[in-house]
Amino acid sequence: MVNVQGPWSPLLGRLSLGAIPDNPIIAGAFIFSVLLGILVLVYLTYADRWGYLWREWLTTVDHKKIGVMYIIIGLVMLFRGFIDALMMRTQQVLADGAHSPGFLGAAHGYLVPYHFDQVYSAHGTIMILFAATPILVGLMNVVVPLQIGARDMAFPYLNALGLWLTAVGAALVMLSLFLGDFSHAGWVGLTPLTELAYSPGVGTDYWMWAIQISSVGTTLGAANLIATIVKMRAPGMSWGRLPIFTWTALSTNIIALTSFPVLGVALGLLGLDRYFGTHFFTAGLGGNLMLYSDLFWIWGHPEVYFVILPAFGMMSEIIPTFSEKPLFGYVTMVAASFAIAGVSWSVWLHHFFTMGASPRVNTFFSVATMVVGIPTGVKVFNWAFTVYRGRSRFDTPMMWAIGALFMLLVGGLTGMMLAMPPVNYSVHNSVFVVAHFHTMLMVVVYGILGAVSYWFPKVFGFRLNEALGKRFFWSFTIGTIVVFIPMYTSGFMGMTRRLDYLTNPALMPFEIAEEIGIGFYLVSIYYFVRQLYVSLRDRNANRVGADAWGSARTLEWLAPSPVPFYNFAVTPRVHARDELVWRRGQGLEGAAPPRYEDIPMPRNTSVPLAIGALALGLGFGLVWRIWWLTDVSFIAIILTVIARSFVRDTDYVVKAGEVEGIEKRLRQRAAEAARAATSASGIDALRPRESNP
Amino acid sequence: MAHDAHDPLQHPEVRLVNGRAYIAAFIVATALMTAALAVALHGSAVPHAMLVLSGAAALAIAVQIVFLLQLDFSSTQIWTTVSFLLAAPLFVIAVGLSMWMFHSLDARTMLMNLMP
Ligand code: HEM
Ligand SMILES: [Cu+2]
Repeated sequence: MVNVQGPWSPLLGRLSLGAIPDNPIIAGAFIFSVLLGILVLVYLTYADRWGYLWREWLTTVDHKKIGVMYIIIGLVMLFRGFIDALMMRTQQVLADGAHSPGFLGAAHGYLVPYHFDQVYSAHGTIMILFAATPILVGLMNVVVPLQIGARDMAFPYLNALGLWLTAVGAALVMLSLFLGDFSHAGWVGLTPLTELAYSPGVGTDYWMWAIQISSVGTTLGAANLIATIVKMRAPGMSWGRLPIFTWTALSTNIIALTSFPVLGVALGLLGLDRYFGTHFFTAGLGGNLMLYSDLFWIWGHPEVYFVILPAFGMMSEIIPTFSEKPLFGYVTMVAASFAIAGVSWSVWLHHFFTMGASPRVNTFFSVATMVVGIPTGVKVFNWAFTVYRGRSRFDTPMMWAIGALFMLLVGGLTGMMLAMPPVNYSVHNSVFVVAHFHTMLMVVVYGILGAVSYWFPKVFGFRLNEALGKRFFWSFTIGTIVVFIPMYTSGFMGMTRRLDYLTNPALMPFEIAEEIGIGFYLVSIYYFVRQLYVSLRDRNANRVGADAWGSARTLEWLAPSPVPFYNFAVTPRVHARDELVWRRGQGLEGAAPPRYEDIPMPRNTSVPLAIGALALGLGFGLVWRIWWLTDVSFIAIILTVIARSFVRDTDYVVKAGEVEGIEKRLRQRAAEAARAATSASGIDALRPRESNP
Repeated sequence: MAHDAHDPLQHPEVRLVNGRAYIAAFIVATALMTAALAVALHGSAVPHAMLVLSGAAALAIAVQIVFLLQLDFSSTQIWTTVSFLLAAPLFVIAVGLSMWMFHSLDARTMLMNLMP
């Protein structure tokens, strides 16, 4: 075991009062979180919601609720990551040129370099691993079992465990804000900066263990989703009829299952360096710091496809629904998804073309990278042909999907530029690269926001407010344009990334433009929150039937909205690729099943939550080197897992009569909702539209 | 369906559980790892240390596949086995291409020679 600098005690490890940062911004964040926390606690107590929270959410194994909780965690972290972005933009606009002012102890701007470095490291780590990834996993959790006609995931208990491990990772990142500090070595963990000699504090440890623990959750979730898709499809749901979103979920989770272990190994070796004094990635003493970059990006590039493939799937569901036309080129869409997943494994070196590999190696990876453009291009044309001569409606989900298409075009083309080593040598580590991958991640964000508004009525039974949704879309889009066009430009002018201070005053106009852009993002958040509030307030006017959009095509829209806990009263038999369109054609829409059956369901359990709490103890102990805590937590986790395996009473049965009662009530409610909606809007909003097959 | 009323212990996957095979796998793997550690510590004294290490690793993998995971081509295990086989190319890509790069990297960067 390595000796660390500074005091250490057996009881508290490295933890001491000195770990609490004295910084006015952090103090403000702390007060904000405490007030928010108190507000939530008071509400829960006052409204007597604790039992409800415990029964319906914390101990649930229902895939829809787990999915929703994943999405909530992701949205909270998205907000935190956005605040980081706002701070970085503000620093760069203030600290520009030798005469720029300094505040709060900084020579220029208001953040000292040490803090600025933590802010961008936290931003990247949070956005990719604790915002995008959980939201996507959450959406797949909600939608995939419904799309394939399953009652739940293959392993509901494992599903809850994955959720709580992800939550632990997010919690560790948030904790680092108020206790100790966060890594300052970038989201990628630049070596040898992450080594103990150069980062003796706890920041790197927070970063490392947060990712390590949550990625165990992601890997378990991936195995679960794959098993669900392979084993739990309803009768008739052959591979050729699988909805595209489910196909992309399959390909993306294959990527997760195969690539996350590599990250685990890379971080594990780094951990050995930091805790046991080995020399895997040290500079010298037999270590090889380039090996870390290699391992990190062997995971890193597949990970970027892990986040984009589900977004492609969402676009492939939204565009046909609002074009009222089947998806163009189903088979090529599936093939393209798997081609992307396959090729994504052989391109990782494009992240370090400049490291010094031989021209032949660089050429190989350059060509491999550009090959990804072919299946991606196939997809773009498929979407374009789907819209072509369709009966397009521009509801909010469709706006986001079309926006994603534009982002994909810009991000993909700049990616192609970066894929050429000669170009890459001149813009590597510039903000041009930052603009490229943000445009790409915007595809993901647009896809997610489209998917949230698209599937929201399925889960909650009412639609989100359309007018505010449009305002959200437009303010967000203006923000995107005003931030990233100047960023591409200043990147071309040679502005390197991760700067806490800009020496070149000529960059000032771009920084000002980006600051204005981030202001538009701020406005868009306001509209989003207001949209949620208004929609919740007016929910009774916006209730929907099973098919919330009147032109939906896939199986999940057959179940009532909101979906009852057992999903389908009777497991549906699937007849066609666009099952709902087929049923509509046969006049079977809304038909009640001839008779109901008993439904076996998994029981709630608090074990995953308990394991999550213990994992938090383990992570916290590892970060602060509190060995008794790590030992106790680790042993307790193992004992809990063993004890749980002896629990035999894990299922119960919902009687057929009970199912019938619930279904009757749901049908009646849907009919009332339809009537209310018609009289409220004056138009027959819920009339099923014809689809040209 | 996953939650049919059947006894979970009747699932064919669960029937594969075999305590004796697990213990055998554990003992063999531990022995191989200890041997590999010894070889690594006294690398210079063992002829073809790299080959011996690779052989031990391959043997350990084989033992895990046979005794621990019990992969075979039965209808219960075919999906798992095929998935495992399909992961092999990824392994070859990741390790092979990395070796290709590192083959000339030290010479080209001279980084590792500069360090103590
Ligand atoms: C047509 C497909 C794409 C191509 C050709 C491409 C190409 C590249 C290249 C060559 C780089 C390295 C730039 C450098 O550091 O000098 C890069 C960086 C990056 N790309 Fe892409 N890319 C593509 C798609 C994507 C997608 C789909 C995503 C994510 C959704 C993405 C996210 C990223 C990220 C996160 C980085 C840089 C990370 C960092 O250094 O911190 N890219 N891309
Ligand atoms: Cu990449």
